[in-house]
Amino acid sequence: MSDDLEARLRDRLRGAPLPAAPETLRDYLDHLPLDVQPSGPPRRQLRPRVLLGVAAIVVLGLGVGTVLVGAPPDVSPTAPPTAPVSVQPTAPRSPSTGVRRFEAPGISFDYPVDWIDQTSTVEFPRIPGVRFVVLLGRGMPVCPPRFGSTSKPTPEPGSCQEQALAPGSMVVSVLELTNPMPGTTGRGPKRKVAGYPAWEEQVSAEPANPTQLQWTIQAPDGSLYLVTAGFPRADLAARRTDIEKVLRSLRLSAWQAPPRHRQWACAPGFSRGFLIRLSGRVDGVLPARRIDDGPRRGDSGVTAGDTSVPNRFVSAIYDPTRRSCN
Amino acid sequence: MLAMAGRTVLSLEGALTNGGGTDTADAFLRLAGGELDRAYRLAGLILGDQHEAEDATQDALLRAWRAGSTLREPNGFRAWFDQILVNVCRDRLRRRGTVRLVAVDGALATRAAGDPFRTILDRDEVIRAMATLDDDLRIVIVLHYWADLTLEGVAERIGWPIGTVKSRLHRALSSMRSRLEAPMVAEVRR
Repeated sequence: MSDDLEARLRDRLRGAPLPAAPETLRDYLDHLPLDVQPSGPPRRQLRPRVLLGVAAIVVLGLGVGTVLVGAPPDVSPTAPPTAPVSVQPTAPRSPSTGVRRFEAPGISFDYPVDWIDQTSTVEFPRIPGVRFVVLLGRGMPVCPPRFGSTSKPTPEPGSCQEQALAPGSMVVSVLELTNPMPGTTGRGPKRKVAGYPAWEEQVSAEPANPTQLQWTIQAPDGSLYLVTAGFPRADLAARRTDIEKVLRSLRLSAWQAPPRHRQWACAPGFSRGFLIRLSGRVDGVLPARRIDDGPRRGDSGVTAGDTSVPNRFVSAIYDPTRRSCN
Repeated sequence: MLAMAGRTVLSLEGALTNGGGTDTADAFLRLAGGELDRAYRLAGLILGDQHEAEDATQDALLRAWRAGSTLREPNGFRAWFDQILVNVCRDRLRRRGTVRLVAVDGALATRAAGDPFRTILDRDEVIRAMATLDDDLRIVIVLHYWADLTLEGVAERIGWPIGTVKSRLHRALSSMRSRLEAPMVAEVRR
């Protein structure tokens, strides 16, 4: 079978100046998560839940889901966990090649340069105790959310997309619960992320596509950062490693949130912390007056301030011992 | 940390320790590190995209660690890892067939233009002809002529019978010949 074509093929292919593996790949190997479970039996059972509050936040039509559970109070807002060494004041490091630094009050991390920062398109509802930190798209621009309107964007070929369905695409969002109720933890196995206490969960069950992973990370000042990544289910392993790489660069620090909006000042429990539940598509800024309506809904805790409209509602779940507005 | 990986660690220890108590993870990282450039280039030639090549290599590394129990001989690490990598690449190629990534803001187009693999695949008529082959035919060519594997070695990597590899190689070369000769025929007819 050997002929001139075969010789030329050998010659051209072997003589081609192929690039060496990029540094990011070497870095990946250096930090390969060798503590991952092998595939096989389910890795855990959900522990019994004392549902003080559930934050199922669905924003932007992206299915950014959050689930928090009350847990044995291993967290105290008055005695925040010891800050990891890495968050002691140090000169900021320059981001490595191929990554861009994201910085916002209290948080910074490095992410690949080919991810698109879409935070500016987001008009997140003003919700006490919740800060929308960042929205990133990998291989796709995310359609701007239309809060205050029930109309959906109409993606055209080549335009924005609402879900990460294409291979290689991903949507990453970061929210911060600035004042969580004492004892609130994330759901899923506890672990460390960049030295901070964290919980990791695969939010969406089989066979949902796109699927979601969520990390709940506790900052030194007691706030909780919710990092949610949505991507095609088939890309689970690759996208998990992408996010893990980003999370390793995470640096959190205490920061002073601006004063709360006056309309929310009387809302019960806010001084002690609360959880927020959003469900369905969130449209518009929450009408603050409803928050003062008093307890109307209960899980294990007490919920106040439901704002129910067709297909969407918002509620705050607060500490029942502090429900007075006095 | 390694204890969490359970069975995989135990099995890897069987294959990767050299009797001197070499740490399993270190052994894996050392072997994988030695294959990194080659693996990335192989993935790049198969996929024709540097970012996909990086993703595929990452995916293969993770799968390899998790599948350590299937590695029987440390000397067979390259063949074993090649198998995993080729499978990952073929998975990605299959998905390409059903869902296409839509270039959305020009960033992807810019990225493709500067892609070293795409540049190489575009610049030479022989390699260009190879790049137009069906995915499985192209993989056979890359493994046989670039990775310098015997046909048995190619069969092992892809998991096909040797007869299938031979027939696909034959088909690939015939197709390339036709493509390379076509312009000359047109020239003569003129």
